[in-house]
Amino acid sequence: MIDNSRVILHMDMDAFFASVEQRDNPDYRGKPVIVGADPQGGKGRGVVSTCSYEARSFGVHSAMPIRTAYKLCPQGIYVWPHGKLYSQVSKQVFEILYEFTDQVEPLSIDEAFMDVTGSIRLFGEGEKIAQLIKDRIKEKLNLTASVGMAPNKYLAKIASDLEKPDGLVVVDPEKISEFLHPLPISRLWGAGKQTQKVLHKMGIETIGELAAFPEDILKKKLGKMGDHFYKLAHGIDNREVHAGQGVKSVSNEHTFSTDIRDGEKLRKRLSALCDKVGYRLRKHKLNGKTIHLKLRYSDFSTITRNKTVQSPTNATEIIYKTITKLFEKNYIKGRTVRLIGVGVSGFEKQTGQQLSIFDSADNKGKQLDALEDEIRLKFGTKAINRADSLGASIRDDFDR
Amino acid sequence: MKFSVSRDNFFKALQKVINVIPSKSTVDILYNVLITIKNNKLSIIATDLEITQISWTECEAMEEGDITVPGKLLLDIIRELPNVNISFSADSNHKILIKSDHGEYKLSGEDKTEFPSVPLVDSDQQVEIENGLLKTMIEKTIFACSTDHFRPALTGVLCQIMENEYRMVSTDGHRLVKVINKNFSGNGISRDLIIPTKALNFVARNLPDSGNQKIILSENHILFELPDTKIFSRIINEPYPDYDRVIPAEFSKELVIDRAEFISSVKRVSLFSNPITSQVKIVLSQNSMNISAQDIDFGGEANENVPCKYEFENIDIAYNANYLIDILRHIDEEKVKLTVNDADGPALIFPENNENADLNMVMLIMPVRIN
Repeated sequence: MIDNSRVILHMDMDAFFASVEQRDNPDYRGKPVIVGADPQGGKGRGVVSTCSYEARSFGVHSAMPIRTAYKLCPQGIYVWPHGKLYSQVSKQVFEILYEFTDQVEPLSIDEAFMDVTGSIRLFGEGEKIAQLIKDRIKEKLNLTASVGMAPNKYLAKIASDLEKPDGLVVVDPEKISEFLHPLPISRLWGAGKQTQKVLHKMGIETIGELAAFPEDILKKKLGKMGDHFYKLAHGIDNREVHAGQGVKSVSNEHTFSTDIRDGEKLRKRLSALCDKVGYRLRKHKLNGKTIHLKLRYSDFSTITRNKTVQSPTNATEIIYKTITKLFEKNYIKGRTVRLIGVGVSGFEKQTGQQLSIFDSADNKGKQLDALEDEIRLKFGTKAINRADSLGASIRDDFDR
Repeated sequence: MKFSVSRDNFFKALQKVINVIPSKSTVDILYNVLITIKNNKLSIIATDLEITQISWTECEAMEEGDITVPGKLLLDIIRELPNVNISFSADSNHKILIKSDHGEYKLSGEDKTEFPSVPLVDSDQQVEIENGLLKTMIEKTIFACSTDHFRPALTGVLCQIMENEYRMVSTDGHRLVKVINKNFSGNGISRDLIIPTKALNFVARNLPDSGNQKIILSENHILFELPDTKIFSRIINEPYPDYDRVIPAEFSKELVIDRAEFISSVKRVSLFSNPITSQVKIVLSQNSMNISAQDIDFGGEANENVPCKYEFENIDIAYNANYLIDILRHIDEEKVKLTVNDADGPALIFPENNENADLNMVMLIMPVRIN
């Protein structure tokens, strides 16, 4: 069933971290600002987190290795990320969004879906609300956002990206195909490089061509995803805006300042990351069932492996134990590692949680977690570390 | 190699070992069984590398030898034959010819060199357990084992051989079973070992109802010598959690209830619980138990009252209905006793007359957190 009566907005801050830096440092304005790892004169490691539009014209983009960025734009202003500041600003942005509706689904620190169908009576048409949000952000925070408006999430997300920065694109429910069909298939939600390859082989370059493709062949070629893409190509996406369940996973990654193959050092780093993830989970009162390990080798080949634990957890010890097992099973000994990451997802509400015999008996782990959290809350996150992560923190490593 | 054997004997021997063959394996030879003819005896071996089972039967040997044969296919052929004499021969190229009054069947076997060897269990560590008791103990424990291969110790049953008692313990982290057989002598042996559930399943299936079971222990394997078959199993060499520590010795509340009524009530009510959590809520008040469930997603709800003996303060506890039913199903007595301290801690469930029985049994269940 196609329901085009909803009014969904997708709000995306423009070059968020870089814009905040430019706002607070007048010297940076009009110049290429690159937020991310220290480039160390082209020898730096880690990646670009965000860069300003000025930097983008040099070909720099987010997630690019910092040394590549440095090669492209040596005159750029390289800034170490100010995480705390960004999350403060993000909070202010979301406060503005909540002025218009409580149906806000945060996607990340600078991005959200909103269902404003119910707010139209209060504030006027969707397009007007979108403009009001942009104006408020500009006026109150001196930052720009791009907003897409459409009858569903998928279209709204595409729309917000089309006229960045400071864009406002409205998809008319009557003209979905006109909007969607000329776009390349790389705009399909969920179509990664592999899927794109398969589609290209089938002679499909644009979403319009995909929409014209017989549904049954598509399903045969792409399996379950065939159905998904078929729907998207016709602009159908019935996902609701899930207000108030923003966080879907908590993860931390670490890029080493030099590639590492020493199993002991990798384990130490994993311990530190598990500690961090556990702390964040407990801070947000989240319990996750699935533990993820991410490994990126020197050649940039990346694996992610996960394991579901018996009952949802936020205990550092359980996360670490599971991660170590995943690591031992999946790390190819002797290969040099560039980046390593730990994540927890699959959150369950605290109520209805099956309690476990040995967890409840293991009060030591819990007490330790609680004590650590308390110390961090009082003296900052770096005030205490686990002994088995000792020697893992080197300042020039890049954490995110 | 050439022999002739009656269909029934061949089938019986083959059927004993056939379930050891893994359903999925990267080692192709494990899909085969090893057939050996020696001294007019036909023996069949199947293994999944963890468990090895041997069975045997009389046959008329024309030429001694051995060969490995695809197990499931062989069983399927033999199963469909009536009880006639079967002639079985294999040539040096491992081509097998099976002949009966009904016709001929040709299939390819493989040389035995690829087939894993039977573990050596050469040890003088031996204990004996009464067959009936062993069977009961296995049945009462294996259901509670874990299937999580990240916690290998919990995928087996912990068997504790002590001076004057023999214990079996299983847990998956949410429930735990401890069964103690006090009618036992360890013959001076005192040892803890974890046996994979699959092996115990086979043992229980092949155990006769009476007599005594001889168990032989080596460092890494355990051997059960059963009538017309032997089962070898690897021992899981992992530390078992300190289970006694998690079984509370004292409780503030105690309940006695009719087992059959309790179980059918939980079964009915749980039909209305959320299918993912299977959560049922139990409210205990003066001599009454209220069992309820609610599925917010689909809008169903149910509740029942069951009379019981309870004289303590009211308490609300929730459990996964499947765990509760599993436990209650494995208790044989008419009435069960349940003891508990609070809604977040473990409950113990046992037969009302636990102390007098041959087997002393404790089952533990962890609740589901409410609010």
